[in-house]
Amino acid sequence: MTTRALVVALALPAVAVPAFAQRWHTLDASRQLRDTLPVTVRVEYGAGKFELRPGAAPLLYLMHLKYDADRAEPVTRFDSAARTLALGIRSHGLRLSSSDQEGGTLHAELTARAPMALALELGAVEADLQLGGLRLTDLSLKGGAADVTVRFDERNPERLHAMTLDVGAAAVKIRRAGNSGVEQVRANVGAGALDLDLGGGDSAHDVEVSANVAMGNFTLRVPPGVGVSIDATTFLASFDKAGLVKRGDRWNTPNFDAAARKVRVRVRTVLGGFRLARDAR
Amino acid sequence: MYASHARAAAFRVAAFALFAGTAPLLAQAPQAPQAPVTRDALERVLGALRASAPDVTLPPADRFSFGDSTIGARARVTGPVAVAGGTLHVRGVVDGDVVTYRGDVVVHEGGDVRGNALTIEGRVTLDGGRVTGDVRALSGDIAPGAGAAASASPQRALLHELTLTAGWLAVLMVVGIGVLVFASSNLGAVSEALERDFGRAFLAGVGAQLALLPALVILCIALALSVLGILLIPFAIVAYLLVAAGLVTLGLLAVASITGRTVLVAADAGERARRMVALRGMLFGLVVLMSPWFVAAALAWSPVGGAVARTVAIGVTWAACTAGLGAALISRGGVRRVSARAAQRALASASWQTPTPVSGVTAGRRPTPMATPGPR
Repeated sequence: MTTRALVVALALPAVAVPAFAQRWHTLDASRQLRDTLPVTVRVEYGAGKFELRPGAAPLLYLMHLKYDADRAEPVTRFDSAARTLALGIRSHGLRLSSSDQEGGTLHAELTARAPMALALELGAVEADLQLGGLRLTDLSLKGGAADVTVRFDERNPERLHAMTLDVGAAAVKIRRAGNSGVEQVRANVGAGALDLDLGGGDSAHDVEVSANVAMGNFTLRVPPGVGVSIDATTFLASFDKAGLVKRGDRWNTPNFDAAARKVRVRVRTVLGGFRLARDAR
Repeated sequence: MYASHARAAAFRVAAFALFAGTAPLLAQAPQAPQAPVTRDALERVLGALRASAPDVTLPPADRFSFGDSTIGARARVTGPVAVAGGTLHVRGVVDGDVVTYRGDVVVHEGGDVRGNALTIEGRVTLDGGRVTGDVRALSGDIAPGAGAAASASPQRALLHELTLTAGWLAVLMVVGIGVLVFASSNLGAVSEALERDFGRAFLAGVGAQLALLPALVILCIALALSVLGILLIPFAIVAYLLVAAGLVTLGLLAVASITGRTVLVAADAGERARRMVALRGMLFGLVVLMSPWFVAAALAWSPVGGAVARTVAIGVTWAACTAGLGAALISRGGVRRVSARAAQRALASASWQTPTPVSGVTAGRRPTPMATPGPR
């Protein structure tokens, strides 16, 4: 009976606390698309589940947000003069923790008709981002402690000039980034893990990748036919050179000179790890 | 036998009380019927929304009309147009925002809202019309009370307080079990120091609290004086605070153990039975120590009663933590046993080693019979 009483006492707060602590609001917001001029979109989301995909309706954006009104407020702001759109939530207090927003969700759709520079700033977020089909010209992703999967299942009609990835303690997977038409990837990995798959797409242009990896891991996946040249500076870090040929200060794949599509990598890592996988499709 | 049944019953009552106190509240919390839309209710909702979403532009309550409303096909009005408890049909032009509370916005063919369209507990339907700005539909737990803080009902506030207290009790119980399993000797030593001289332990605890911050400052300064030590300052601060928190927790658990032990006397049985009694004693002691907080939580609805009960709870907890901290320091975190030291002192003393005092005893002479005169 003592054990039972103990279990009751321990379980009660766990069951009952979520019932009172949050005041959930839902916000459905959208904006009709007036033109197809380039737009800068910034999405800020502290904690919760986040889905993003291209929208089919003639809307600049469509957003369904569920949030705790006691701790956060929604952000939907479009500056028509500057052509900037801000979406997401902003915390009232010092910060948003995952427990604060457990159950919070953000589902957003962005227009696939206007060229777009997209900046995503994510905290403790579980995110599934389908960016294939958006007309992306620039992409910036900051992930604090997020678990993010970015997919480019469809081709980007625009040329993605730069993809900037700041991976703090997050786990970020980018799939079929070849479809994005990315030209330059800049990555900063703190203690997290970045898995960048440059597969997908049949564009012949080259890609420049520069990465600073502190204590995290960076895995670069390329299709077997792509030539890769790596300039790696490592200190107490792991870098698997199997299958690579040294030429000067660089490590190249054997097919580098003959490959139609080349990826040049410059990676600096201290205590972290870098791995090249030639298994992307 | 009777005593063990009584203890089990006490735990049963405690568990039931936790549930009995909260279950009706859980049952009462949801499903409040929707109040009719009045201007007062509208003002409260608008106030709450302004507090929680300052970015959303809301017109004052006196701008709202009640019931269905229509902007005619050739009409052109200046916004904001605000409607409560009815549907707003837009067939003409609105230069500005449209807002509804508990009602929909329908923008018909030819209708043009040259601003934002916002519904609170409603929907926006674009039936061939257009909205230049944002279309927003806000719903959910939109409180009829004014402001976020006031939105929680008294029952929910009471539930909040009770579950918070129960949560703390649960955490302390888990920590207590961990200490009993992994550091029972330390706990025993702290309890011993506390039982030996409660007043001394309390004074030591007060002194430790007063010295806590200065000692930390001195530690940081000492580290800063050495070049390499500067790098250690953040770690030292964290370690210092962890040690302090650990000592306070150990002391509090010792107080709880002693409190429980006064009720649950250990039978002169085996080791297992003794441990069970120690566990029960600590858990019971924690319940006793936390009981003022439960009272304070139950009186949270009463400003005066709640404040008094909370003051008592703070006082009891502070006294327990202070005495416990002092005892933990006196026993060096339970490493040094006071009784062991006393025993060593006694051992060092030579007086026990011989029944004869070291100073010696006065030599006695065997009594001899007095010489008696006899015949010579």
